[in-house]
Amino acid sequence: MPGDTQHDERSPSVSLPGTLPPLLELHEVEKSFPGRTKPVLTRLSVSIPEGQFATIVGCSGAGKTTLISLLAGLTTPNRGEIRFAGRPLTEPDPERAVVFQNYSLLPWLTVLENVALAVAAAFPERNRRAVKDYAQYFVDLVKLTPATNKRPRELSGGMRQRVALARALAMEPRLLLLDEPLSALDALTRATLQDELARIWSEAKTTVIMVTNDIDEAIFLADRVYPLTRGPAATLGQPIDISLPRPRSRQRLSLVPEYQRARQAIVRFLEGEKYSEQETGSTAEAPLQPLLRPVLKPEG
Amino acid sequence: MVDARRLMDRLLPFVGVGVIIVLWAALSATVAPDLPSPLRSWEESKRYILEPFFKEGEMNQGIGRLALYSLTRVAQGYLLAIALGTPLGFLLGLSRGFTQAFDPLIQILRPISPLAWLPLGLILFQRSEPAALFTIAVCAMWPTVINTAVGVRNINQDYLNVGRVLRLSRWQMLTKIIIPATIPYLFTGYRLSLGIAWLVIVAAEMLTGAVGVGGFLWQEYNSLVYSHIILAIITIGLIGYLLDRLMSIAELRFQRS
Repeated sequence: MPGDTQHDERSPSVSLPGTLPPLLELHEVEKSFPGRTKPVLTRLSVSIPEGQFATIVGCSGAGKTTLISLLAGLTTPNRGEIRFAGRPLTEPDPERAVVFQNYSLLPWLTVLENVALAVAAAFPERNRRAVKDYAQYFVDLVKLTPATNKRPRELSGGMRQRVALARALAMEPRLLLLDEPLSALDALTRATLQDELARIWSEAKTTVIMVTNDIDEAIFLADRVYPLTRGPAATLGQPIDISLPRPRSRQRLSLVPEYQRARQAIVRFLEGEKYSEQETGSTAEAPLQPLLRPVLKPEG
Repeated sequence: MVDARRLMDRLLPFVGVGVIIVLWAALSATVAPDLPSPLRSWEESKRYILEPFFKEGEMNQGIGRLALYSLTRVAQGYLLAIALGTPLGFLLGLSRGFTQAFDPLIQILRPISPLAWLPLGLILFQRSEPAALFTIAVCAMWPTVINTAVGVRNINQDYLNVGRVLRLSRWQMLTKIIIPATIPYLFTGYRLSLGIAWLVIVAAEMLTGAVGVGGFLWQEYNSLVYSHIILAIITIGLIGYLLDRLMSIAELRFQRS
């Protein structure tokens, strides 16, 4: 990567989850919106170590986007505390880059200008020339060199998502937040971009938190999967470690027993949710149950 | 079949014009003898159209020359309108307090006719020319003000979130996100404002006696040359239409970019 290495304090052994001090900590976080009786998210307690690829998997409407907004600092919790790198997280910061669900590219700027805007904001000391070169590096990294001077509306959904990813990576964030970044794409593009994401992450080694509604995507990319219960009043269940070796191959993965176990555990968790809802006939007590229910955990 | 359809589409607008001319001729021949017939109007007006830039005195000039005076006046008033209206619109869109303080006032000022503003302009400026510009500006600025404010309020929250994550300063937020995101609305406002500015010009020229299409119209009415009133009306309509088309093209360009 060109430019400075401002995060060189990061240890090279980042792939071992749980061995480093947490980069992000949530303690009993609750978020509600005025005019709604139930909170969207409640009792969120989690600790994400530096270097981890964490995926949060949940059904649509479970409050995933709200969770990303909280982690980005775009909105603040009503209860509990979020700490980032040991400090309370209160406002947005280029150290935590976000790839929004619907790309959020600025339509009046070209691909390069969109990325350069982020570079200039994250590194104000750089001159115009350096900003442009650096932005170009990230446009190349996501394989969009031919589209450098195009505007977002001229690009396909997959290409737009690459730009959004390049923009986020170009900020050299300590934490990359991905809000269902691939959900709007067709299956093939989606698989390609999952591979890209895995490749880029293995090179950049930044901490990633990605929310998704796709269980296979969650397992394929993650060091650890955190299941999110149904909303309202959604909360996180027991995390599931994925210690499958990298680089992972999609074809072989489905045959690996650990993959099957992890998949079953997540499906059981999310479906168990559904059954408990049907049994009680209401969601009133649903959020607490998954925490109490033993969740099958793969060994290792 | 398709060709016949297309031919019809081409011809129908002329049919519409033809019907109106026949009706006009019928009216002038029957119930409204003071209304000059289409043929007489053409005979009396053709010099103004065929030699659009002749000049034989203040109010006796080709229609092209008269239109040019009016357009210059409208351009000045219109520029004043958007120069005042654009920042006012941004203030309204950005500040809740400002909106609460000034929105009721704007809603009251907006529907006031140019005929009401002009005397006030004359009192304020003592001369007719600045009073006319004042009237055009104060009538034409509202679509710009309101569209800009609506545009700012409707900015996609995602764009603002991008700005927040990048921790842009207030000034950068304005220049990098808010203004570019508002431009399509801004140009819709500019187009509507130009339409009103052109609408106001006739009233302003009539009352101030300024030289231009509107002034000409009023003078020819007083001189009983009614065919020239029709000439002036058609000219005003055509120019208004052309201005709107030009602004629409500009508007589309900015919405695409």
